[in-house]
This record gives sequence, structure tokens and C-alpha cells, in this order.
Amino acid sequence: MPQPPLLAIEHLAVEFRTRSGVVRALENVSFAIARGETVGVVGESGSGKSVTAYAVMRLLDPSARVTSGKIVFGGLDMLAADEATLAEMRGRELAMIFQNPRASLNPIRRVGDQIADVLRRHANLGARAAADRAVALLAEVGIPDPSRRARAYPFELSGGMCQRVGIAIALACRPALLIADEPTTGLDVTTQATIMDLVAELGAARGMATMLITHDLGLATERCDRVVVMHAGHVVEDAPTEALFARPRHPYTARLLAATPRPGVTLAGLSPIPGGLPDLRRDDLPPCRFAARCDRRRDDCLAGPLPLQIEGARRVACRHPL
Amino acid sequence: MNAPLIEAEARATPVLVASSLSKRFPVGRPRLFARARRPLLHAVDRVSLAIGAGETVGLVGESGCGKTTLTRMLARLIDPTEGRILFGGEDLAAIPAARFARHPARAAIQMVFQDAEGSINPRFTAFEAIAAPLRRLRGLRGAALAASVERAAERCGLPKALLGRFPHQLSGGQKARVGIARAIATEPKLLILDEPTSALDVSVQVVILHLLAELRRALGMSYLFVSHDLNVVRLICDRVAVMYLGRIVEEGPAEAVFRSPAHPYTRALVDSIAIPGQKRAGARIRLTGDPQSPIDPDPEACRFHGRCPRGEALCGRAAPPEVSPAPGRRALCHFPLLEPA
Repeated sequence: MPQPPLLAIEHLAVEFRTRSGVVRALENVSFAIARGETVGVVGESGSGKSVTAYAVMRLLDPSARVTSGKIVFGGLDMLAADEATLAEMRGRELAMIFQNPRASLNPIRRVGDQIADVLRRHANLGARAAADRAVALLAEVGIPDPSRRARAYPFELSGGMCQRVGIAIALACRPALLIADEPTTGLDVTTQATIMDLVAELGAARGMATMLITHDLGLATERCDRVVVMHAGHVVEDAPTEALFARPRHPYTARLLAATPRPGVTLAGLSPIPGGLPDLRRDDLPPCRFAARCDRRRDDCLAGPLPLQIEGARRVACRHPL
Repeated sequence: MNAPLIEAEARATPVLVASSLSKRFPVGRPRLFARARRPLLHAVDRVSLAIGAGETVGLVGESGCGKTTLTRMLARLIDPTEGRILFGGEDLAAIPAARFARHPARAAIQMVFQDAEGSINPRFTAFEAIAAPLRRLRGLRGAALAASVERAAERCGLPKALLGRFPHQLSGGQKARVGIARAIATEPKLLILDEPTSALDVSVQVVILHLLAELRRALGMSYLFVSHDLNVVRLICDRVAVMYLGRIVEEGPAEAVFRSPAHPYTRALVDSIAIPGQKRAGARIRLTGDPQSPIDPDPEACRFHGRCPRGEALCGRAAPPEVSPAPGRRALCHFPLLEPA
């Protein structure tokens, strides 16, 4: 019998109320993450990757409203959970690392204390034990001279070091799911590789699942078991990594790949994606939000609900897939 | 007519030659009547680099390796501690940065910054942003100014209707175009691009890279292209220079350097590139150990010693020699990787 997934997002819709109208940021977003699985979420800025992550963490801005759908994490209905349950969950079972590691740390608290805070809150450790464990965690994430670095403030550490501290905080209580929102953007390629190795190794050792949000298709190829492609608040394709990139079925996935620089392709061989993301404040958004940019568009793309085609482990939201 | 030959000849004539350029910053607290010299941070150390006419040279390396300090010296925004910058038959390094703003070469070397949003005055419209260098450096006013601004904008694919907008009213791609239009308005010979596309989505990045290639052809400019994204560097650069802790450790034709790196650091860098849609075959080289301090580094040791997977005792005792693994290539290493026969 198949096990229920660790995280199941079902038909999630999120709106933001702004002064210039209601932004339909997510619509009918569904995907699941199994225990120990690494799933990439890719797409351009504004595609809804981060909103999905924040919805799972229940950290959405007050102007946001979940209008429909369900998020089930480890058997718990996240959207119905009260603040106390959520506070227990975050940090212990569900953790997040952020794009800007320095900004996500408290600038006026020593990094060792910030790690110890999590341990005292969730692992019921005393002050002394938590401080010792914080130093051990810093060593585990590969920070040299950890007992000295534990007394450092974020500004005294490099970007790569701050991201390691972020990982130490996120992994302090051995969460079941780590959400990594562009964890290596802005870091050097060599640092990027070490940070991702660290996440992969610690994840594998603990059977942790990872949701890796990135716009870097290379990173997704290298690190993910499965990739979910988002466009303008929709999941357009969801497939095992190799199959997805070997033979993309959704025109947007194919376009995204065709626009990405890679060895063996000249500048002339790279083609931009025509148009831009549609204005998500419009009332008359077509069922396929990619239709206006798509060269395979036919009349029926603009009418009726969007069919979700399931082929084995792959899902494609397109009427005329490749 | 043999076009490639003419092109190769044009490239052989450099527009800019930096020779043995260094920048050292004093660090620590200055002490009155101190006997000891203040420690010096060697940000850029004896860097030599030539940029040919019409050539795109990539500059790569990790943060803190001195890329930014080097580009700022070449753009003459800061003064080098030592060395020469030959440009148009003149040593620009001899002109203090403070006076360079009024020098004719100012208009010939321009920069495009990484953060298009942050590098455009938020209270300037797109028109004013592009007009500023034309006013200051070309002395244009009135109708002539407007015509030049519009020409630069048109070259960069900015519709006239957008010129009245402020930066916050423009999209990321449009802001990038304003930054480029401002830099090419004075028709420079050398454009220094500092991560011009790193903040953009791939779909917009392609458009901007196509635009840069087209502008280079149309205006006959040379580019110094600083980037973290090695897939992009490989795509658009003729040559690439790899920096590590203030020194250029390898330099050569981009394709050759990426295909068979000679310096172990370049090898690790190239090996860490993740290729979209292509799973890695085999294990990746991992760099272990801490980088050396750039403050008063040991002159008798290789800067990469301690992190180098090939390092031997000699590397800690003697500065590496410059070797040439192939014509047009150079590397600073005792034990360079040689191309498999």
C-alpha cells in the first residue's frame, strides 16, 4: 500500500488584496512531497514559488487570503491548525532557509545564541546544553573554529557562512521537511556547491525531504528527484527530473529550457520566451495563463477548464502538449 | 576578404592593457607614531590583462577575489597602488581618479552595474538617466541632447514612450536597458559590465545578452564581463581571466579554458557548474580547507595552497611560476593540469 505523502498541497488558491485590485497569486496548485524526497519548484519571478512555500509555512502576509484548497503536512491540516500548533511545528518538523541569509538572521544577536534559541524552544534543552549543541551544529555545517564563531554576529561572517548558520538553525531539530527558498542565489559557484552538498548529506542522513525553490535549472537538474514547474500561479508540469528535461511536455517548460545558457549552445541558439507574465489582477484571466505567450495556442486553449493530463509519474496542464 | 582574419587582427590590437596592477588597502587601526607598518590587504596583486578591440573578456572568481576592485581601477573610479593602465596611448593610472571625471577617456570607458535599480537615481526619469553622461561628458544640450538620448534608447530597444518614466515604473528588463543605454550613450570603446544579468529571469537574460552582442557589433566596443554565472561567461566571452585572492591564476580563450582548465582552481570552478537538463557523471571536485587571508599574504607561497587538491610542499615554499599550457594561454601554478594527449 502506498504511504501517504509527507506534504500534500491540493487545489490551493491564494489571493492578495492590494490597492490596485485582487492579485490571484496561486490557482489550483497541487503537488506532493514524499518522505526523504527532494522536489524542485522552478519558474520565473512572480510564478508563485515563494507564495506556495510561505503558504505551507503559514507565514503569508496579512493581505493574503487562502480562498480554497488544502495543505496536509504529516497528517495535520495546516490551514486549520491554530497558532500554538503551528509554532510547535515550525522549527521542529518544518523548517525553512531563506534567500538572503544575512537578512534572515537577527543582526544584533550572536549566531550561537540564535541556534540555541531554537533548541531551547523545541528540544527542551537547558541554556548550557543548548549552547554546547549550537557549537556542535556549527561544526556539523562545516564552520571552522565553531566555538569562536558561535560568538560572532551575522555581520562578522561571510554570506556563505551566514547561510551555513541558517542551515544549522533549520536543521537543529531534525525537521521532516526543509523548505529552501533560493538558498544559494548570490553565493559563489564553489560555495553554492558546498552548501547544497551539506543540505543533501544532512538530508540523506536524517531522511529529510526538501522543497528546493530555485530559478536555476542547473541546480534543479543536479539536486532534485522531481521538478514542479510553475507559471503565473499555476503548476504547469510536474515530473521526475530526468524525464522532465529530456522531454519537456509543457510548452513553457520547453521554452524555459531553451532560454537557459548551457554548454554546446551558442547565443544565437538561445531563444527568449515571448511576452511576459500576465497581469494577475485581471478578472478575465484565461484558464491557461501561458496561452498569450504560447506558439502552440489554439482556440480551445482559451475556453473551458484546463485539463490536467497524467502520464505515469508526470502531470501536464496543457491541452496541446509537446 | 577574409573576415575572420581581419577580426583576429583587430583583436590583436588591445584597447586597454593593464600591467602589473596592484591595489593594497591598509587595514586595522592607524596608530600615531607607530613603528610597525599597518597591515595591508592585497585586494589586487600584480594583475596584467589586455583587452583586444571588439573582444569580450570574462572575469570570474569568487566573492572577495578582487574582481570588483580590479574593475573599479580600470574604470578609474579608484586609484591603483602600483601599475599602469594603457588606454589610447596614455597611462591612465597616472591620472588621479578625482581628476579623471574631466578627462576625455572618461567617456570612452563606461560601466554597467549589477543592480540596475540601485544604480539609477530614483528621482531621474529614464531620459534624465541617459542624458546625464551626455551632458557632463559631451556637453550636449537641448535638441542635440534629446536626439542623442533617443538614439541610445532606440539602440537598446527602449520605446520613446518609456523615457518619461521613473525607475520604479519600469520592469527589471527595462531598467537593465536604461543602465545599458546610459553606458553606451557616449559611444565608449570599452564597456565594463558587472554582473549585468544576474538579477534577471532567464527569459529576460537571453534578450539582454542578445542586445549586448548586437551593440558590441554595431558600435565596435570591447567588453570586460564580470560574472558568477559560468554558463553565461562561456556563452558570450572570447577570453576568460580567472582570479583567486587578488591574482589572475589563469587566462586564455574561453572555450579552451572551460574545456581543459590548467589551474586546479579553474578546474574546481568549471567542475562546479551545474548543467541544466544534464545529470553530472561522476563525483565533483570538492575544495576543502580555508582560503588564505588576503592581509599581508606570504609572497613565497601559492595563494591557493591549503585548498588545492594538487598542492605539494613546494607550493607553500615558493611562489608559482607563470606557465603557458598552450599558445595564448597562461596559468600561475607549479603543477598545472595538462591536456590529456
